[in-house]
Amino acid sequence: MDRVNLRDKLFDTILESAVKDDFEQELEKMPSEEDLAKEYSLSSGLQEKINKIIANGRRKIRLQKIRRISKKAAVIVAVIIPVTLAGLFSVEASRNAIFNSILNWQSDHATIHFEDSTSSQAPQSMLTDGLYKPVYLPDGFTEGKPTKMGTSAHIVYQNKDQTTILFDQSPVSEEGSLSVDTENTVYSELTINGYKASLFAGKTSKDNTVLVWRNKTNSFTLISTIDKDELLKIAENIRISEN
Amino acid sequence: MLIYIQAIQNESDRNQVEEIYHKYASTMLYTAQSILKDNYRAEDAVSQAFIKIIDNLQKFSFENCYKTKGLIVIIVKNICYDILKSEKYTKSASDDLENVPDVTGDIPLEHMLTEEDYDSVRACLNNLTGTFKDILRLKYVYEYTNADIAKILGISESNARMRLHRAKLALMQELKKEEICNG
Repeated sequence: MDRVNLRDKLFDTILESAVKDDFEQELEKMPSEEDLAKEYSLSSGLQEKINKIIANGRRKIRLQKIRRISKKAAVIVAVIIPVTLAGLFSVEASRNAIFNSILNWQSDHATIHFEDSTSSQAPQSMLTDGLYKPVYLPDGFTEGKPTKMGTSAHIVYQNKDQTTILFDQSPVSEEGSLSVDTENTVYSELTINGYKASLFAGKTSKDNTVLVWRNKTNSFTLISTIDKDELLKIAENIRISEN
Repeated sequence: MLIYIQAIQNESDRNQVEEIYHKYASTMLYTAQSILKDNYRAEDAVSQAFIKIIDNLQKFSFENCYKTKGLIVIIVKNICYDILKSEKYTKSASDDLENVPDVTGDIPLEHMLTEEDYDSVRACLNNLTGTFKDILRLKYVYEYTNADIAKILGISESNARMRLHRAKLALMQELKKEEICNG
């Protein structure tokens, strides 16, 4: 290590220690949470707004976690499948396996497992062919920046009241899982553009409605507290987008 | 598949945001009001902060209350700086970024290291703007990458890198000033 690098490192060490001590001291100077709670109470309007943000956030947090684990799992699957299942791909039955989903009911939630749908043709990649996006959105909702994770994608639509509509899409060939809070929802099956769909309709306007369906190449999920009929209308009006 | 279910069923994950709400909501409001001096805008900052906290929940280390509180305070403060900046109410801390001369070469560390000691660095940190202090804290206390810092502050990664660089430069200038004053 040359002299300049050594000095840089030394300075960084001093700075790190000073920043830590300075931050700790500033936090210690702040009044305690108990004292602040007496003087700074949130208005009922803000409490309601934050409760709504938290309710919407639960879904977002869960999706973030599933997506993170899915990414790791995808790597493992990518390594294991070619090695262990190479022989099976020559079997006609396995080549013609189709998209399948298993609905697993638990006490307070259902887990939908998307299973292997191996076909002789590789699925179309959304990254090269564009994303599916709704051509219909309820008034006031604007599109956030799509988040792509491999061949899956996640788009959040939001209005001024912080109400969100989460739209997820993945190729049907990709294994995955989605957990749905069944508490305060009513389950029904229906069809969207000729394909079977699962609807978990929220019982109140504060409960999320979850709609899971597929088409020939992709599986989709819509999650929001908006009216279920609006969610269905969005689902029926998704089209592949070039951007 | 078990791995998915385990992840999904983690109840503590669900409740982390609620815990933050119950424990730190007043601290958040106090922090926002201290900067914005206005209850309406402070409440707006707090609600924005909750959205940001949810987006960055995986970056929290909940086993360390000190770090949790600190990160919440940093998030609220930076939202307040953005509000001030966007409304141009006053010369915000962020504006000071533009007043620090751009640096094309290396920070002149050698001189400072030979002249200043730890106490001087501590004293000079107090003279930095909030945005500069916060980025140094995210880097050195939380040890986040520039990408993580960028996401937390809602800026680009290159902006985070430049802000960090300028924070160090501003510190150097403060150290130089102190050196001149002290002869």
